[in-house]
Amino acid sequence: MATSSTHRWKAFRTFRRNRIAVVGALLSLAVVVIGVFATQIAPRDPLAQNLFYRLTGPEREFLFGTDFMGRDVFSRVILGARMSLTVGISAVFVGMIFGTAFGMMAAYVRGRVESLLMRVIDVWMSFPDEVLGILAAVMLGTGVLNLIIILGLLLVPRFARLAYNYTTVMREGEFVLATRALGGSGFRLVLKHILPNIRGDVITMGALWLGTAIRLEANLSFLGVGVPPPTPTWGNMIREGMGRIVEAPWISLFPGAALVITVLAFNLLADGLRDISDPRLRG
Amino acid sequence: MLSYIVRRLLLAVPTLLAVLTVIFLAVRVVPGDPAAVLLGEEADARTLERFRERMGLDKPILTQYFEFLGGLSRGDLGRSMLTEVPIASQIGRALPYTLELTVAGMAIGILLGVPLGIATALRRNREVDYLGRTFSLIGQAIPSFYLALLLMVLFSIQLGWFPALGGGERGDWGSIAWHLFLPALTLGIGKAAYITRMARAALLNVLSEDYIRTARAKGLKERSVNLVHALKAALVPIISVAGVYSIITLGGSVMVEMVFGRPGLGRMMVGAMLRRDYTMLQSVMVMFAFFVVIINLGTDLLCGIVDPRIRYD
Repeated sequence: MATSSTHRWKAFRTFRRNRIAVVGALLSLAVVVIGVFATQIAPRDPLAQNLFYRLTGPEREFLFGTDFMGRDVFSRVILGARMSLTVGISAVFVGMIFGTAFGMMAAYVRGRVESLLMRVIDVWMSFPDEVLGILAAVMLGTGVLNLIIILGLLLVPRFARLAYNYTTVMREGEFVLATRALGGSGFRLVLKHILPNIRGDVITMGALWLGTAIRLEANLSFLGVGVPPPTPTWGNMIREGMGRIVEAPWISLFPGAALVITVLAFNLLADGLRDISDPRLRG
Repeated sequence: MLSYIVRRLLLAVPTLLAVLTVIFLAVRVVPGDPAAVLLGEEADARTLERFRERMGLDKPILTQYFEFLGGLSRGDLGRSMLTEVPIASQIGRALPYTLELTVAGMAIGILLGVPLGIATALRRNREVDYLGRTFSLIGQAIPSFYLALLLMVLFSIQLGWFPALGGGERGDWGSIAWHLFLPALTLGIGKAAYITRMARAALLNVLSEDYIRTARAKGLKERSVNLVHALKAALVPIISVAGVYSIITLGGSVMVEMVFGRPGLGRMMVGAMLRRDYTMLQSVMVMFAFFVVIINLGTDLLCGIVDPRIRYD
């Protein structure tokens, strides 16, 4: 246990020395806190319409202004954080579970099935997210749950590639041979010996792809296949503000800024985490 | 080289076929009966029947599948479910807008990203490197549709330098370029952010190789070590990354077309989806699939030319 805690302490110090990563971690934490306590933080009801105050510019009463129904943009941006995080994290879990299983399986079976499975992954991954997202949305329909599945589908090949690459290295290890010699089944080998070894790296990339998932969610909501209104998400807020971009640009610009800061925060955090696990990429 | 080209081509065919099959099936498992969805609830059984017959929806699914593939092989993309206009002519009209945007966006991305990546790698941990990496980080975090909106608010609405909407008058190159600038810049900046990072990593990777040290030890000039020895080896990863990003740029064109109101393929696809025009949607998706396979093929061939080892893999 002593070695493990020293190792962790070292990793923590490496991370702390990377100031940009620390900034990313703090920003990510802030976004998570805002998302969790969204209803407490939001000064107004994000769905309450007040036509008397419609299209009011940013001022003290309405920090980010109001939209064409007189709803408070600031409160909607705060609530949007909750939706983006919920959808993003769930999608990363879906992608991680199915993608990792797929990748490890492909590396484990070897031979023709392996090449076929990886070919499928390559083609799947080579499709633009927007096109694939629309295709999946047409099949499944819209709604929060379907959106999570769609985003998960977009993330599956990324996790599969990652898990596949790690597993192909691992499968040559001596501990694999040892497990085999002791009569361990293939299933046991993958689950008990290979998975724990790649888990850390998969989770690190999961943090990076959380930023990607949030960005993709906004893309799809902007195209009209994401979370349906009136539930505020950053993507559908930007979409709704598009028609008033000349007279009331704040409706779109503030949720977009929140989106950029969030994606940046998770990217920085993930970069820092990756530096710990792979020192070659440092600097 | 010839056998490499042939092998790549042979691999592209089943890939394309598999993708076409997925698109065909995806559009047919849509929830609900497309005829009923399109014609509305008040449509009577006879009208529905006639519609299905006209669109070939009454035939067995395998027949539909082979008619779909047969049509494609003749360049027949069918008719719109809504307007019954031949889809091929509409795609023909939309295509230039998307191709211009993707090519121009990619060109800006490469012209900005590759030199910046090289500069940051060669001046590691100096000002250029920090600036380049900051640009790269921020560029990666901004979704293309939001960057498009920012540029539009600043340069079209506030300053009035560029038009906010539309794709320009066909045949008038000045008008086309004027309308193309902001959308292409949007895609270019986004792609440059990624390409900078990848090019930097690729070059740094090569620069730590032993043969670079050997070249330096031989007394070669720093310039020739960097530009001839290192860059040549870094070229393959850079080309394959550029290939991947061409496809991502194509996808990004969907978003950018929506913001700038360019009547391209992406806008056509989103419109078809929202109007539930499934035949149209299917055909536009086929076009995208076609481009993806072509770009992948081109990237593979280019890598094979640059690095002969790849041909014998």
